[in-house]
Order: sequence, then C-alpha cells, then structure tokens
Amino acid sequence: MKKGIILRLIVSILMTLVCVNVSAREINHRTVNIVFASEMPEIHGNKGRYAKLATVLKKQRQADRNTFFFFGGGSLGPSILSSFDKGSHIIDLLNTLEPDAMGVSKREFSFYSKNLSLRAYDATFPIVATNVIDANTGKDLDGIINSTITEQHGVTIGFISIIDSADLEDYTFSQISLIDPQRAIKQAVKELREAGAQLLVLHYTGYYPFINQLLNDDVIDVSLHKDESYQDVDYSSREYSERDVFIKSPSGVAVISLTISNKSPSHLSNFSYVIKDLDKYEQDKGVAKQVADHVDRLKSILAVEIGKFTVPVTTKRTIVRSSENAFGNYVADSVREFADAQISIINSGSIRGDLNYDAGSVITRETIANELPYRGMIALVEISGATLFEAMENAVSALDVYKGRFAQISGMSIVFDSREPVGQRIKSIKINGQDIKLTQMYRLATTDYLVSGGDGYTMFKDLKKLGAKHLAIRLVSDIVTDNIARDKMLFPRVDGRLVDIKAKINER
Amino acid sequence: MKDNKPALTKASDSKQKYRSVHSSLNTVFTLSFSIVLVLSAIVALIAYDRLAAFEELLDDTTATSFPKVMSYAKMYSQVNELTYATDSLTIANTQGQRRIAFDDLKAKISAIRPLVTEFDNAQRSLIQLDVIAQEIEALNALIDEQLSIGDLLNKRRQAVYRIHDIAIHDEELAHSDFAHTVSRLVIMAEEGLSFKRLNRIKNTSRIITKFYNHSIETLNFEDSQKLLLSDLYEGLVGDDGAMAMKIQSLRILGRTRGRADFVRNLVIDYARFAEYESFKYKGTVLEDIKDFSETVDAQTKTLGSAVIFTFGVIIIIVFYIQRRVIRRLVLLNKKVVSRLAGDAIDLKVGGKDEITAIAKSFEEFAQTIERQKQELLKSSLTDGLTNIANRRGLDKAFKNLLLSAQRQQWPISILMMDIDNFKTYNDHYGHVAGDECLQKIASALTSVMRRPEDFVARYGGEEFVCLLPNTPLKGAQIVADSIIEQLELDSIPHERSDVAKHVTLSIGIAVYTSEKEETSDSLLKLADTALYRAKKHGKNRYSN
Repeated sequence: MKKGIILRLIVSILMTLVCVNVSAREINHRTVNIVFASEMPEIHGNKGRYAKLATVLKKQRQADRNTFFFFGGGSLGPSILSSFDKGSHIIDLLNTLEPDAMGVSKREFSFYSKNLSLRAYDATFPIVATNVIDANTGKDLDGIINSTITEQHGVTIGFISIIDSADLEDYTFSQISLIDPQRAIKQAVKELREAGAQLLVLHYTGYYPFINQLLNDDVIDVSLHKDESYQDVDYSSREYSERDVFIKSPSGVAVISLTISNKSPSHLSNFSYVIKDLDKYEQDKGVAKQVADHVDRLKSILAVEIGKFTVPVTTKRTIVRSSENAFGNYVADSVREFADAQISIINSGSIRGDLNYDAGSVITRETIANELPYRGMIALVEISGATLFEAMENAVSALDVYKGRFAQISGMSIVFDSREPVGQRIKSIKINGQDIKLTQMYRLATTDYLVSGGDGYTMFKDLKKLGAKHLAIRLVSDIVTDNIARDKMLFPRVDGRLVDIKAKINER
Repeated sequence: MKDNKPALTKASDSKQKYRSVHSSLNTVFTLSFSIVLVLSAIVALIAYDRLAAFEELLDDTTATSFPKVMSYAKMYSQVNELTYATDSLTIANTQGQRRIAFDDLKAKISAIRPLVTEFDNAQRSLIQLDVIAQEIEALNALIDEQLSIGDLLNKRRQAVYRIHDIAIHDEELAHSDFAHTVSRLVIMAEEGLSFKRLNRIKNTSRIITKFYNHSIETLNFEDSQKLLLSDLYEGLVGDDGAMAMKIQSLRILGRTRGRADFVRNLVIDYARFAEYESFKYKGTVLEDIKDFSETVDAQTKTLGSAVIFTFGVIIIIVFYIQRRVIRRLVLLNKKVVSRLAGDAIDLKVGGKDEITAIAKSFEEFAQTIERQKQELLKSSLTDGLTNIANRRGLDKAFKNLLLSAQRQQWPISILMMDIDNFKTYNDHYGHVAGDECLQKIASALTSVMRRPEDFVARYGGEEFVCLLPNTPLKGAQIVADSIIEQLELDSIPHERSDVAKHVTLSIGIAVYTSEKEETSDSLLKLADTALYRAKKHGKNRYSN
C-alpha cells in the first residue's frame, strides 16, 4: 500500500513538472472560450433547452478546444420531474453536457440541502458554493466544494459561486448558513491563485456592487449571472462592469471569448461576449433522446385528466406574487379544508406555472405538477393575532420585486396599502368579518417550508405545531389534486380577501 | 207502598249520581294503564331499535369494514416493503444480487396489483403502479449496464496489468525505458481512474496521450515493445479503453443513482398514497363508529330518561291511586265496620267518584236498615190493635223497671185489669166494635198515666197491665180510682153488662217492695189474684 502511494506521489510531481514546463513554453497568448448557461429547471416542452445547449457546446468545443462550460445552477428544482426525482434528471443531462463546474443558487435548495448533497455525488463535475456552509457543522455542505480549479489543455480557471444573500431569511428553512460574500470571495480567490488558477470566474445570484470593484481590481476576471425574470425587476439603479456577463432572457446563453497571457497582472485581454438565443439552435439528437427518455417516464401518470377550469385562470408569476389569485385561493382553500384550520397561508412562490389558462382548459396531473412542483407538506400551527400581523407584513414586504413570499390566503380577509413603508402596510386582518385579536390564538394551516422559516416567515419557526397524522402523508399538490378530482369543474375566483388600497385607488 | 216511594226516588238519585261520576275512576285507571303501557312500549321500541342498529353496524364492521381496513393496511405494508426491495436493487454489486433483488421486486408488484384493483381510485393507482414497474425495469437495466461496464473496466485493467507485469517482471526489461514508460502510464491511469470528475479524468487522458506521444518520439523502443505500448495506450485512453469506461461508468452511476432516487420517491409517494387511502378509510370507519356511538350515547340517555320518566309516572300513578282509591276504600271500610259496631258515624268520603257513590249507597243502606230495625223492634213490642205495649213489651219494660227499682229501692205498683163482661160485649156489638172498645180502653188508660215513666200494656185478650214505678199502694189505688172514673166519663155503652150501662173493668193491685225478692211473673200472679178478688166482689172496682 505505502509503496503504491509513494510511487503515485512521485509520478504526480513528475507529471506536474512536465505540465508546467509544457505550459511555460507554450502559453504566452491563448484564446479561451467560456460558455455560460444557467436557470434551466424545466426539460418539458418549449422550456426544455438542454438539447439546444448541447448543440451550442458541441459547436464551441469543435471550434476551440479551450472551451470551458460553466453552469450557473438555478435548475435542480422546482419542476415537474424534479418534484419526483429532486433534480436527478438535470444532473444526468449535465453529466452528458460536461460542465467544468456548476454554481449553486437558491433553487438548488428546493428539496433542502441534503438532496443537493446527494445530487453532488451523482454529478461527474464539481458543484461549487463559495459562501454557503452547513449550519450544523460550520463546514462546506457534504459533497459541495468551496471553489474549484478546472483545466482545459493547460489553461486553468478558478471557479467560485456566490449565492444571493440579500435576504438571509430566504434560507433559514434549509439548515445552511451564509458567510459574507466579499470575504468568501477574497478567501477563495487567494487560495485559487495560490493553487495556480490563471483566470478567475465568479458566478453569482443577486446584486453586489462590490463585484464591479473586484473586476476593476482584477481580483476576479469575469463574473457571470443570469436573471430569467429580468423584465419583472427594476434594474435601473444597478450598474455592472463590462466584464460582468449578464443573461437577461430565459433562453439566453453567454459565449465569452478572451485571451490570456502569463504576464501578470494584466494577463487578460480581448474580452468579449455574446448572448445567444438557444431557441435559434437545433436540438442535439443524443441529448434530445435523453431528454425524451426522462419526459416519457411520467407521461402516463401526468396525462391523467383530473378536471377543468370553467373560467380563465392565470398563474403568471408577477400576478401571483403581488395580488390575490384565483388559483392561489383554490390552493389555500384546499389546504385549509384538509387541515381543518381556521385560516391558511401559502407562499405564492409555491405556484410556479407562470401560465394563462383559457376557460375550458383541461387540468391534468401535469398541470398540477407544473403549478405545484414542490414537495411541500401541510403544517398545522397555532398562531397569535400579533404574529399573524407580523407574517402578513412579511408577505407584502417585497411586492415590487415579486418575491415568492407574497401570500395566498384562506379563511381571512386582509387589507394592505403597498404605498406605506415595509412593516406598516397591513391595515386590517379579519376572520368572519371580525377584526382579529392580537392575543387570541388561531389554527393556521400552512406548509412545512414556511413553518421552517422559509421565504422570510421566520416568525413561524417557534409556533406550536398541532399534530395530525394525516397531515404528514399528503403533499400540498396531492391535496389540490384530490380536490380538483372531487370538484371536476373548477371556477376559482378572486373574492376580495386580499385588497391593496393602492390598487383600489388606481382602479378609480 | 207509601214507604217504597221515597226509597225509589233515592235509588234513582243515586243512579244519577253514579252515572255522573261514572267516567272518573274508570278514566283514571284506563288513562294510567294506557300511559304506563305506551311509555313501556316506547322504551322497549327504542331499546329494540338500538339493539338492531348496533347489530347491523357490528355485522357491517366485521363483514366489510374490518377486512377492507386490513386490506388497505396490507397494501400499505407491501408498498412499504417495495422501498426496501428497491434499495436492495440499487446497491446490488453483482449480477446475481441484481437478479435476486429484481425478481423480488417483480413478485412484490404482482402481489400488490390485485390489492390495488379492489380500492377506490383503482385506475389512478394502477397507472402509478405501472409506472413504478416500468421505472424498476429501467433501473434494473441501468444497474445491469453499470455492472457490465464495471466488468469491462476490470477487464481493461487486467489487460493493462498483464502488460505491466511483462515489463516489470522481465529482468532484462526491468530497468529499461520501456519498463519506466509502462509503469508511468499505468500509474497515471490509476490516478485518473480514481477521479470522480469527468474533466479531471479527461485531463489525465490528455496527459497520458501527451506523455505517450512524447515517449514514442523521444525514446527508442523495439517493435514488439512499441506494439505492447500501443496496446497499453489503447487499453487506457482508446475509445473503449479504461478511461472511457470509467467516464461511462460515472455517467451511468449518476444516472442510476438519480433513477434509484426517482423510483424510491415514486414508491414512497405510492406508499404515502396507500397510507392515506388506508388512513382515509380507517377514518371513515372510525367516524361511522364514533357517530354511531354518539347516537347510541344520546339514545341511551334518552332511553334512561324515558325509563326514569316512566318509572316516575308509574310511581305518581300508584301514589295517586293509593290516595284516591285505596286510602278512601280503607277509610270507607273502617267506617262501615264502625257503623256495624253501632257507632254513629257518617259514612261519607270526599270526592265525586264511584267510591263517593259507594259510600253514599252504604250510607243509604245503613240508614234504611236502621230505620227498618227500629220499626221491627217497635212492632214486636207493641200491640198492633191498641198501639200500646204488648205482653213482650211489658216483659221487657217490667224487667228494666225491676232492675232500676232494686237499684233505687223504689216500690212498683202493678195494676192488672180486665174488661168486665167483654165476651157479651163482643157477642152483642160484634168483633169490630169489640176491637174499637179495646182501643178506647187503651187510650183511656194511657190518658190516665200522668208520668212519662208510667207504663201501660195489653196483657191478653181484654186484660191490661199498668206499671207504676216509684209508686206505693196508696198511689196505685188513686190511679185505679182514676181509671174507673175515666171509664165512667168515657161511658162506652154496654147494654148487656151486669155491672153498669157502660163498659167497666176490674183492677187487681200488687205492689213490689224492694225488701222482697220478687220476679215479674210472681208479681203479675199477685196482681192477677187481686183481680180475681175484685171480680168476685162485684166487678168495676179494684182489690189488693
């Protein structure tokens, strides 16, 4: 054994020496290509773009062997299939596409950190999260690494990934802790430079003005990010460096080209990038088949027809996340009914179809899997009127950026004024037409995700849980499916249970 | 006849009275027993109904619900077992293990299928089960592929080590460039094969290629060595070399794990679904039983109240009957007995019913009897013709007078009288006149008696007796004179009398003094003797 290890060590050292010698001789000016894609959770229908991405990669790799591929995450969930396999199919497709590394964003925690760890072991590429640590151990998450160096034909790139930490409470549900991104980046960069990274690529989600500075100071060389909901967010006050690569459309993929030399510090030149539209590419046949295999797996289950919408219904992201929604009402009502609670709250982020349904649209299990892809379960808790106020303030605290924390409710009616400052927006909460009492306790049905403090509902963490066996064996999506199967014809409607005074005034 | 009339009116009166109260006790009894009967019937009916319903539920529970609950539970436990069986398939390291686990899974699914068809949502459940079966097939195929690739990888490795063995173990070659090159290639390959990330393996492959090309170009090898090196190189980084196998193996491993996870989730979903169905069914059964037991509870309470109510009503009825009927009957009985004993008690009892009527009738009967008794008594002591005491009346009165005379030490004078020549009077005037004569004599005697205690009786055909209590001989003689005088005054004509022209009588006087023991008979005999003397001395006079 020992002999083997020593031998291996000697060979490694020799090998490294050979490599360094080779690169020292050859790399004076080398062109490097980087393909960056991100936020591709869906493989079904028009949204499924992995086969097209495969085509882009194939072309780039054929054109230049120094092509790196970084994947930005935002894809392991939620989606129809991931609600069944918790993102395994995405890892399988990525294993074929061979990214050099994958970053992590909030969606990678859709099924909690333990499932991300499992996926990391299935991946044939490194999964990187630079500012995330396990809340329990204080170390990197199992299977996830802090940073990585990847090499293509002698060119080495250090890769780090920063998760959006603007709303720390967004992660309270998942037993992870976030460390200061700036500190995390500097620490990782130092280690990567020491380990010989020639180029430093940062992937991130969220917005950090200091990244511009890091780029200007050549602490990092390129930053990559994507926001598929770009048009929904006000970006007017944000500034980005020219070496910040920003994909602003769902079908966008970035292809970056640059030249590096081994002359420090200005080792990077000829930087340019283009955002290509994946939808303009043909599908790669091999990957398309692989995708089809995955899609077909659940075809028979998903095709089962369970009901019909008798009125037009929308689940458009910006609508669901800012106002009372008919489908949201149906889901919240179903949850309340199932748990036999006085009131219920679900986060609008759990409704993800982003679709418009015409009157008469057939509802299949696919519809539900698409709309409610999370595997959330119902939690029944006891909540005081005061805490309920606090929770509803949280619900309406990020209307302008359409956060998933906006609540769809049942069993109560709420009036709020979005013109008021955050924390002072809720004007009244009524149950059965009566104002709630701050000290009285109410039975609230919600999801396990919110009860563990998800989406900023940290005030739910300490609530007394009321046990009921059947709650633990049915998912929210199951309950909605059951109810639709029972009701057959659905005419969900908006009945004024959530009223924004501002919107009312605008109507006039 | 005259006496009957008022009795008749009374009878018809009481009849009317009886009629007027006729419904009262009857109603009480009919109503009471009807109430008791109806209440008891209701109680019995409720009890029977509950018993029947309970029996029905028990039948339903044992015949339908329990087996169905068991069936659900069985399905749930079998679906649960499916999770473990899936895990066994996932971790299979050899084809044998894989086959055993797969067969086990197939058997389990076949066992679940008939259970599923029995239940609600069978269609949906079967589709899901089909998908699970299909996914397990796919997983099995993947594991099969993974194991085959693992085998191939091992074969490639063995081939590489064979070449390595040749290079190392041949002493002539041991320190040659060939041996070094082989060793280095093998070691580099081993490191590459230990990586889990594709790009590192690929990088290693590139390094191996570079090193191989460099060695071939710069070092001198024999042709046979070149051939072996080429084989080795192909075996490592060729299209189906060890490195390619490793990459394929890693990809399939990822896919297998993903698939296994997917199947596991499907199965867990299914188990949860089965558990929920089982829970739901159990819930409905429990709900039914709970509802029923609540109903039974409520009805038991109703039944209890009904029983208590009935019992109360019976007690009230009994108490009422006791008060209204029994007590009054007892009272009536007591009064009747007392009345019989001779007490002067009013037989009336309160109320307006049959008992009142009976009491009234009793009262009427008692009064009639008493009146008749007195009349009877009176008629037995009185002489029907003269309407004064007869011989029996005399005996009774004489006995009483003697007793009081003995007590008071009084004398009693006895006057025995006989109408003179009455036979001839009868013959001359006829019997009717004779009777009238006797009546006149009697009233004359009665008129002479001054004191109420003085007593007159008809002793025989034309014989009369007077008893004069507390009267000595002298007083008796005065009375005797008065009698004779009165007859003279009355002057009842008697043409055939040998004494006077009117009816006269002779009187014998005897006096009882308390000094001597005398009986009434002996005293009467004395008086009779004296009468005889008066007759003898010429009639119409007295003698002593």
